[in-house]
Amino acid sequence: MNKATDGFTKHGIDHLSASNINLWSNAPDVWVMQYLYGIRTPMGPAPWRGICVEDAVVQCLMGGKLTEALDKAHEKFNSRFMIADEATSREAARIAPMVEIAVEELKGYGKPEFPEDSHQEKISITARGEDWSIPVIGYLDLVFPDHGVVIDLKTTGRIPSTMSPEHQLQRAIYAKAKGNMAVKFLYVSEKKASLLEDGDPTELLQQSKVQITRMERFLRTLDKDQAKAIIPLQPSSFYWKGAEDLRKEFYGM
Amino acid sequence: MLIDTGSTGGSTGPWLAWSSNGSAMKEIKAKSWVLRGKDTSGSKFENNVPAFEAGAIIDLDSLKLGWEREGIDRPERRWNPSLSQAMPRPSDEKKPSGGYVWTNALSVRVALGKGETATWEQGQWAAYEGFRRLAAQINQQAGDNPNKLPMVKQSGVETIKLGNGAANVPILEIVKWVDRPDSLKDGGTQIDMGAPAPSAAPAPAPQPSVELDDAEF
Repeated sequence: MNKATDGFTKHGIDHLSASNINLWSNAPDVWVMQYLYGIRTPMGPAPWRGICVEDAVVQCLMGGKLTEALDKAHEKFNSRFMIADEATSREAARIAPMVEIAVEELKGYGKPEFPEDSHQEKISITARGEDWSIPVIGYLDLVFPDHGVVIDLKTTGRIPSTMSPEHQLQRAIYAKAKGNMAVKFLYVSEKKASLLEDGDPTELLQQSKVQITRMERFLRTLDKDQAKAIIPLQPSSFYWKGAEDLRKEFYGM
Repeated sequence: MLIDTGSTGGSTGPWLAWSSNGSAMKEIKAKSWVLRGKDTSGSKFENNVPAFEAGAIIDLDSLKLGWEREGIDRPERRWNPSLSQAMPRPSDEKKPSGGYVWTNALSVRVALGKGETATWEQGQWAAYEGFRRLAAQINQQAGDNPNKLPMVKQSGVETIKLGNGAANVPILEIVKWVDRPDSLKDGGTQIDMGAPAPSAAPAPAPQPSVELDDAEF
């Protein structure tokens, strides 16, 4: 079979990412809706809080004032969740302590480096099968070349003792792409921070290759309407939280 | 006397909108509020109204936020499931002018006074920015005013230069918090958002090309 008919090409998918592969592995019904039909699920206040914290941490590490960084972070948070409720208020209140703890933890590394034309460095590795290949891309939060380390910031309600399999795959992709640099994930809660680097990247990438291969075969075999018609539904999945109406509209249940 | 006249995408009319730059063709003034719908004889109208000049009450319980894009007959809108669940922009497609095809949109029921109500429903940047600024005041004061609704007045307009022109943002301020008026009570002019109109499934979102390729597995 030539490359023009591999599953990814057939569906116009020209790259993958850790989140794409993780979604395929954990919630293929959501994956079909999102990546074959382009219908995205809503974002709750917790992940948006993470993005706002990250922006503020970068601003502080680059020499900005904490108060200004926090103002900007809250403004960004409120731009998406304009009218506060219990959930959004709780997450908004976490921004300041998380930023302060993360900055304290990271200030010893100095200023991170960023590409001239972007606020995040893009990385790419290639997954290659028998008759297909697909880039797997990612964006690095913080690169400290002088220390030979890449750090990804994860804000969380509770610090894990071990990185989740999903985060381990993300780290493996970064580690493979960055060669001789260490890749660590800094987990930050309102109270503390912890730097973790779990999982063997080589082993994790081999496992993900199995999933990507199955994804390619799935895509090669089915058109998107067939995929939608037969994919098993997991209505109780965490990935449908907040998107129940979307699920009912798309899948009818 | 105005009456509700059916639906545009599920909400209840008449509909209120901020006109940032006006329309010579429709004889709509710039920096003004426009009310459109049908009157008791079934004739369509589209007129400038004082709206927030003397104060209007905003029904926060009816507030919906989401996205809007221009349609052939009327705008297509996609609302967030709740105020604490925000849908990402449906696509990053841009207009030839450089602006996004999908823009932030809001829908909220408003009591205009004298028993009249309307739905402020709009996806225009200046209108949304005006409401965003008002929301900051609401968040500051809502905790001290449980079960009340804000009465809002317009105190001015701020002109903001944008890349390819200017936008006139209505400056809205809370005058006081009041009990829910009869016109915004159940059985009165309760908003009925209904289900979104069925639409063809969108094509997969365009994905950026990848140039880097420095490792394989």
